[in-house]
Amino acid sequence: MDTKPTSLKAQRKGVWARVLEYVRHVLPFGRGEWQECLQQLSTGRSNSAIPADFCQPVDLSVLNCRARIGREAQGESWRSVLIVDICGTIRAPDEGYEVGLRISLGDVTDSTSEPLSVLNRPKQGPLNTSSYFVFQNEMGRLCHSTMVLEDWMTVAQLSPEWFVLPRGGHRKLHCSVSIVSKTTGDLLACAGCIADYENLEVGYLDVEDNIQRAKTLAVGLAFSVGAANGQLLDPEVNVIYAWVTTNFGSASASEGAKLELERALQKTAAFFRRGGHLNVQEICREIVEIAPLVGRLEILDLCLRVAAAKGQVTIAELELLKDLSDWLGIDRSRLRVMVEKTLPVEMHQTKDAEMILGVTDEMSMEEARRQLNHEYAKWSSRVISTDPAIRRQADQMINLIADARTQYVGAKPAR
Amino acid sequence: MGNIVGIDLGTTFSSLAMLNAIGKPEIVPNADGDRLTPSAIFFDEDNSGVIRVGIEALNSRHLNPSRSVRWVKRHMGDTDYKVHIDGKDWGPVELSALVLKKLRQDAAAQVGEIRDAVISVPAHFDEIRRKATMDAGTAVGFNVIGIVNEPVAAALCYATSRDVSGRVMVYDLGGGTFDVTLMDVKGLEMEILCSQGDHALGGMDFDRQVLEILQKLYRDKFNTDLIGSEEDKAKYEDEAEDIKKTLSRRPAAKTILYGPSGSMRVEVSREMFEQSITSLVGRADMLVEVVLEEAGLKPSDVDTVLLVGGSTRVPLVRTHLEQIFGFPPECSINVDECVALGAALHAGLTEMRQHPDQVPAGIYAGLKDISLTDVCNHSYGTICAPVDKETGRRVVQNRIILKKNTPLPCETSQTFYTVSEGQKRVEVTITQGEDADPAYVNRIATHSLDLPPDRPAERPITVTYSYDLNQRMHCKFQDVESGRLLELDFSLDEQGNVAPKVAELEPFKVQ
Repeated sequence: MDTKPTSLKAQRKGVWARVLEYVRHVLPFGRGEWQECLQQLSTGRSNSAIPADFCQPVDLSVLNCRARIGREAQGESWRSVLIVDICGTIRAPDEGYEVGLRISLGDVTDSTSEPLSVLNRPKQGPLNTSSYFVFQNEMGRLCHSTMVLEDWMTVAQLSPEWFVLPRGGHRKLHCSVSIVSKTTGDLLACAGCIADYENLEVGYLDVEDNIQRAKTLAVGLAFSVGAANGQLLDPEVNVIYAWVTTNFGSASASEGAKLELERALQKTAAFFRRGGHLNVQEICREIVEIAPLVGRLEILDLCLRVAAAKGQVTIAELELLKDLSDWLGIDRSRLRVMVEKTLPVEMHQTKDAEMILGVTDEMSMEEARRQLNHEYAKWSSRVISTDPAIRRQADQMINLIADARTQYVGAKPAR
Repeated sequence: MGNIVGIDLGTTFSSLAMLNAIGKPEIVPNADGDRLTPSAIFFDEDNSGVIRVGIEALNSRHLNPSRSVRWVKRHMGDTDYKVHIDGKDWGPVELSALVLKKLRQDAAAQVGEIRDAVISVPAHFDEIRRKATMDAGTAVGFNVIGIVNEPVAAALCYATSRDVSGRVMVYDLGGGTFDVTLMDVKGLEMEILCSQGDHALGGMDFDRQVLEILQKLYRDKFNTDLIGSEEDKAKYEDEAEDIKKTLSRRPAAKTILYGPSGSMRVEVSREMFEQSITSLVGRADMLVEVVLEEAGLKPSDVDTVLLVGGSTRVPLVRTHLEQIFGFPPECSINVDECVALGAALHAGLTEMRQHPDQVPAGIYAGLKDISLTDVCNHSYGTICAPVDKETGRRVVQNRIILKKNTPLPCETSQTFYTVSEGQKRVEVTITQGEDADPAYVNRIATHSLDLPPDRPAERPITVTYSYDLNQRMHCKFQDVESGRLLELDFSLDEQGNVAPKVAELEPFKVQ
């Protein structure tokens, strides 16, 4: 969740207000537009028909362009591509002039005056929000200084694998075509057109919205964990506040915004202190829909840190953490690894064999024996750690494992 | 060349053995004529320059526990452990050095000058603890030519003195530590398969259980605590140890408790004792099972179980082993002495490897047929940042290069890749530990390998670790394209920063 660009963070001031709004209304949760778009898209493929305005007469004295959806073979299947055609006149200072083609895209679905950027899709790594998509290609030499293309000529097939749109669903893309001098870079001719495009992917702004939404929901979960044992303590609120401060970019916010954030936090804390509670299962369901695993792990980590804040974790908190892990689609073994680090055994008010040792009542004696042996091997290699806290934890764990062996496997070893 | 000795520096008792003229190891008794010396230290109250080590220290302990130290081995390598006596802080290395000084001076008085020695350590000791043990030996003037794992030493002793063959498990339950080692033995050829240890399981933990029984019995009768002072604690710790030993021979042990509310006669049955140590013995069973699982073996694949360490005299320990393996364990030689005897043999083998021309002919003839293949005691790795397949994010991870229990000498390589475009250097960290999570492994060293400028990401870096018979590790980090190389060597005999010097312990008279 920390991969989002800073500039986008800045666009979302006052997000905290949503936390309050969310808490006030509790449920049901508003769904993002992208979800509806996705639902629409799931029912149909991209538009490949020639739009009606393509049949309009063109002025051949200037450069014209059009963009349409086509199909391109991809292995045994097909994929949609954006086909760009040009016709009309290109004027150069001399004949034999070497020219290049440049095509850029802008998303004008919501506003033609302020198009949203279409970004380059990186081959690897995170998306760079300042890297805008531009297609460039060589067109060769012009035979004459004035060249007239009397019929439409396809100059580019833009694969969706090259660019990322801001939002998913039906989009209107402004396509700018420029013919430039290869030697001087001077613009010789340009044209623009609007194309309809069905984006089957989640847009980068959708992702950003989802991240913000998931973070907002995470705060609700964190408060729920803090209040799970019937009382929400200041150290727990402090952990949440620190997380909110870091994750909602309020460090650079104005004093007024900070104050608003603090008030919102206090109100939310007061809601939980009055005994308010949320439908955490429903919150988790929404998070699972919008957040990838890495985001969900971060949310669970926040919840664990809230549980650890007062130095002791109660049965109620542990039970809620187990439920959250299940509802967030994070398997128990991963939860246990996280618990080991954030909630060392000395913090546990009661020793939950499943959470601490991975042993469940459903296990057979042999399965329990194997699991305990596995834990024993793991912790006995940690007792030589140079970190005294880990050594102490390892000692405690080994004692617990030995006791659990007596309980689950019995005093006598099996041959 | 002086005498070649092996030392068992134990948690509760220590001993020294020497190779005789024909290469047979023999225990050298201490000044009191005892073959074992208690690893107990007492700082004399009346003469601050005098330090008593051994039985006298043990006996003086009840009088002034604050000036007495036991079970130092449990704290070996722990930089936070300090005993403050007469304005001086004594760490585990210095305290262990005092025990070694006593062993050395008592033996030297009988057999002449001793210089070269091998000291035994539990198999699970890491580099820090091995180095601390070596430093303790060096501090009292030993030339510590090697460190040997206790179960390996014990197996050497068994294999050279008894007819042992096949797949052997050495079960070493000492005063404070526990090791299990699996090995293949064929005559005098020994091949270690794997070792595992528990640093905090031994006779002293059994003693604590007996002490708890005594305290409970007293509390039940008088509703007050039996132990009200450090002196009481020291006294009843020793009482508990005696009761444990008695219960290894008899079904019950009797004693009188003199507590603050009056005295009482108590009888501790073997059944009560066994009940109290059930989880400890279960812990030992787990280690046996873990070793077998690591080696991919079943109990029926083991031909012989050799007992080492005084705590293996506890009948419940033997019963459990018989239940696991289906045959009684072997205890045909003295379980308290075999580690020191084997360490002396190991010292001879080390001398033969390092200075073959200096080894006397008789010793050479006695040891020449022994062949020992040891293994790497721990896993060694490096910190890297691979992309997690599930989350798509880079995660900092410890990647094991040299796996634990790899036969020595060994060398292994892995290729890693640079992370970013234009990366100027790679930070290389050498780790010791079995975990993938870097938080749980020890970082032995961190260095930097400079890279050529302006390169794309994903350039290969080869990491090669090797470990030789003299326990020296060599690490090589190489940028494949430019050939740039970073080489690092680690060995136990390098002088440590915290190692006490010979001169520091010189003023103290050890008796």
